[in-house]
Amino acid sequence: MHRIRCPFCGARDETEFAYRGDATKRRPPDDADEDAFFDYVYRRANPKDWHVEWWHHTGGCRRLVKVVRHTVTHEVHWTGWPDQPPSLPDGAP
Amino acid sequence: MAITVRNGVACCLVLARRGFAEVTAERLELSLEPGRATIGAERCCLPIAPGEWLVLEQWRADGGLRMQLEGDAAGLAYVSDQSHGRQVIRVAGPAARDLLGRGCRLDLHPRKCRPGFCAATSIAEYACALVQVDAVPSFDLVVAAGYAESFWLWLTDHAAMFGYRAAIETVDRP
Ligand SMILES: [Zn+2]
Repeated sequence: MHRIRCPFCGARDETEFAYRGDATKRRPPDDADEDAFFDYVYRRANPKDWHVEWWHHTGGCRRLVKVVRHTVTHEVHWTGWPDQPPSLPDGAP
Repeated sequence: MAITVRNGVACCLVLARRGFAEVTAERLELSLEPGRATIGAERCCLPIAPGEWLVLEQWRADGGLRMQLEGDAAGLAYVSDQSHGRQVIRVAGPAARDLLGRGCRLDLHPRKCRPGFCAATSIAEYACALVQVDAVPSFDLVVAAGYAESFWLWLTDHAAMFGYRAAIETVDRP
């Protein structure tokens, strides 16, 4: 069970959140080619490391929260709003 | 413990326009502090998301609360009337925290949770806005009307071990 600190609601249990995947992907421009969109929609890294990701606080304020989580230890290092640059731990790639 | 269906409550959602949360809060006397409701004689306001509040008041003419809020917050916020879409259920009595603790994952200890405490959360997977209204303690739980009956059954099932009295009332203040 993760405990995730929503910037508005405070620390809440994982069950209140819906996982929404990699938060570093950016939508290509409308005129980008098929490969660019294939990459944007489907291709994801599967790091054994720190990961910047979206969690939607479905069971609370219903806002998207940006989370820096370690995929092995599940430690949550940082949470913030979508427009905030994530803070990564020292030594993170 | 008393578990009461509270009818006759008008309920509106106020959503501030981008960049207008502070001025909306000031104009409508809403709290900007997450987890802290403003409970007045007439009105109870819960901050449930950034720039978003649930406003509860005694039922007036149809749409009365919405029209007043729209007038007061003209140009600052959007208002939607949720009166028919939400149901308020009150749980009151010394065992109220223990009952809610069976489905609510928040820390409801009186050290953290005092009158005015509020949260948008899930109770036994029912989406719920919760506010502690007094020191009895009494909690008002605002759920989607379509889930109210099912939520009622969950509450009364789990309240059986504490003993409870069920009631329906039409409130003269929220
Ligand atoms: Zn939240």
